[in-house]
Amino acid sequence: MDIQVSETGNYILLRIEGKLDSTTSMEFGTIAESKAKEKPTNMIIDLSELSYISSSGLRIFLQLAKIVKQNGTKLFLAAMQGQVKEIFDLAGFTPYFSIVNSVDEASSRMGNESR
Amino acid sequence: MKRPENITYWVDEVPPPWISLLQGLQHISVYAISLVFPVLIVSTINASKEQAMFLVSVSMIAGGVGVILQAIKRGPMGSGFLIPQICGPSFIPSSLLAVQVGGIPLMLGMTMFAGSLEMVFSRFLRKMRALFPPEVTGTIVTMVGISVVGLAMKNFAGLGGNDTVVEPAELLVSIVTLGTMVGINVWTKGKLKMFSVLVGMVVGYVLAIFTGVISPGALAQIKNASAAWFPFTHHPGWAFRGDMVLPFGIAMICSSLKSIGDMITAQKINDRDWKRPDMENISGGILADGAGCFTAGVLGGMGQSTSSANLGLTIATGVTSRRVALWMGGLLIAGGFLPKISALFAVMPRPLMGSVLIFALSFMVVAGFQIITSRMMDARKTFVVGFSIIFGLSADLTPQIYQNVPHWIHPVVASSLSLSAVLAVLLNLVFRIGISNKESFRIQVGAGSEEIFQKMEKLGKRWGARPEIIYRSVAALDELRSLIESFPNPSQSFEVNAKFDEFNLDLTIGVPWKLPETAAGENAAPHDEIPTETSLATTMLKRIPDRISFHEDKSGTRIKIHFDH
Repeated sequence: MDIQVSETGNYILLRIEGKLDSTTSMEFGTIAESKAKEKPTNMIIDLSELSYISSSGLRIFLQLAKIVKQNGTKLFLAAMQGQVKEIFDLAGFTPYFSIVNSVDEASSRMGNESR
Repeated sequence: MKRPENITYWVDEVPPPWISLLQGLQHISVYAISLVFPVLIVSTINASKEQAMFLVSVSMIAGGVGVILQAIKRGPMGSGFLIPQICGPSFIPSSLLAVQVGGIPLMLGMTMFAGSLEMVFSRFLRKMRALFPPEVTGTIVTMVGISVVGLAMKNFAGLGGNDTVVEPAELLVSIVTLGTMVGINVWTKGKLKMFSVLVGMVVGYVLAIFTGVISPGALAQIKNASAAWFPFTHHPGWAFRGDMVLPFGIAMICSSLKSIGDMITAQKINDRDWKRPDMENISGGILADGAGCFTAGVLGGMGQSTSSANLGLTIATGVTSRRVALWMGGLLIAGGFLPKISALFAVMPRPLMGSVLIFALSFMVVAGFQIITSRMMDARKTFVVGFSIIFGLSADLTPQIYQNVPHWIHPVVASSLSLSAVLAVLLNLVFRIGISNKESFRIQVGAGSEEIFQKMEKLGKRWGARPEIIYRSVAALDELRSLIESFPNPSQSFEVNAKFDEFNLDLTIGVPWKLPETAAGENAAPHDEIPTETSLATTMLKRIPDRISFHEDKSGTRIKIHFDH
């Protein structure tokens, strides 16, 4: 798994590549949670290259959602691929997250909602 | 069945009458290409003009009956889909043989025989499902497209019969016709897109008249045709011969295999959630196909089979409504009694035929690829597909190889389609040798999901399992692995017993513990309180498979995980 972090004025963008299972989730969780706590800003997670997610990965998203809620900011999950989406649906998570088609859509929604 | 997004009028939907009428005409314009075959057959015995006209008219009537029988689905008859029937190319070699040996009556008698045989064959199809996995049917669908390339390209270039010169005017008509069809299909939306072929044909006919590609003689043929006639008075009767049973039997098998491919395509394009061929439906479709062929023999037409080119048209236009089948059937039957209409299609210039074929068959070739790759490919399947296509094509590319084969094999090697179809079925049977549908393997508890992916994907390829089912089985095993990992003294590894057939994937795992009771399956959704890792893993383990059961005894827990395939 590979994680890239970039920050702009409005949001933090995290890009995950590969599989998010019990062996890789902790690393992702540590990076993402520390970013979310250190700078209370909106967060977009680009999932276009995420090929698999297990319950350990799902749990990290729950933790991130809790942190951004406490911060009063927003979390967007962008470009989720079919099979990962199916796992999200099976877990019953889909209605509780802002799932968007692309990073651009997430950033434009952020712009609209802040106006 | 779920409605696919790219369909404009789905199978059960009823378009306005004018759309159904124009769609019916459009299908007839594709259908009409096959009327060349009966003309070609009778031309080899110097039959009279009346005999040729009789054969064309009655073939149209039989085609009309066939498309209706196929679409209406009454009792065991019909698939319920819009799958037009045409004069089947698979019947050309045997029909040529029959007219030379015993004239048109023998061809009609043996066509009746082939139709009856196909109807009987349809009753056993459900039990023969193992013979037609996606790599076999997909190969047949692909080859249906590829095998017509020669005919399509010759017509596109305006060649055929005594015409061996590519004339600029013909090429112009071809390019403009195909360009119009493709342009409308790709760059327009809504109603116009539904009629891309019809508009292309009209443009093509007009251009053909202006450039002289349609000869004044052909136009006179339409003008001089009588307004109405009753073709059955010209019926020459029937004849049968024992030595024709084999050629017509083989033609029937080839024709049915192609029709099975067409029916699978029809199922696939009409169902967003298509997973596997519905053999019950195919069995009804083949019964109707056989009934259409039998009707042709009785009334006096050429052997019929479903039309891949017309099916390509339904994909291109997004109109699969069975109402169109009724209009098309009605128009074809009427056309059989109205020689002016049949003459209009009978004089269709070659460039137009070539353009329509190239347009429609592009969709068939791609539909075939999609069926083939709907399962994971391994070396066995690769050889089934590769060998069938390569050896199959040799029938057309290097026919001299087959010059000295026994007489009874001729219908098989007569075309690349029939050779490919027969090879695909046989090779699939051969390569089933040594495939075990049971396998045991161990999973390391401390490792990540990667090891499970590797093992399950390897098995999935060998078994030809659907990739999405294999993916879900990996997800379930990975959740089980994390559960076991969370126990106080986890073992190093655990054994998985996997069992597969075309309908089921079952995984059985025995663990020496009782699994923790959790409130799994109820609430995994985000709450302020985040579930523990064990609880979330148990929830997912229970939700990912189609069924899961836990059997506890003294030695621990036996977990059975089931996926529908």
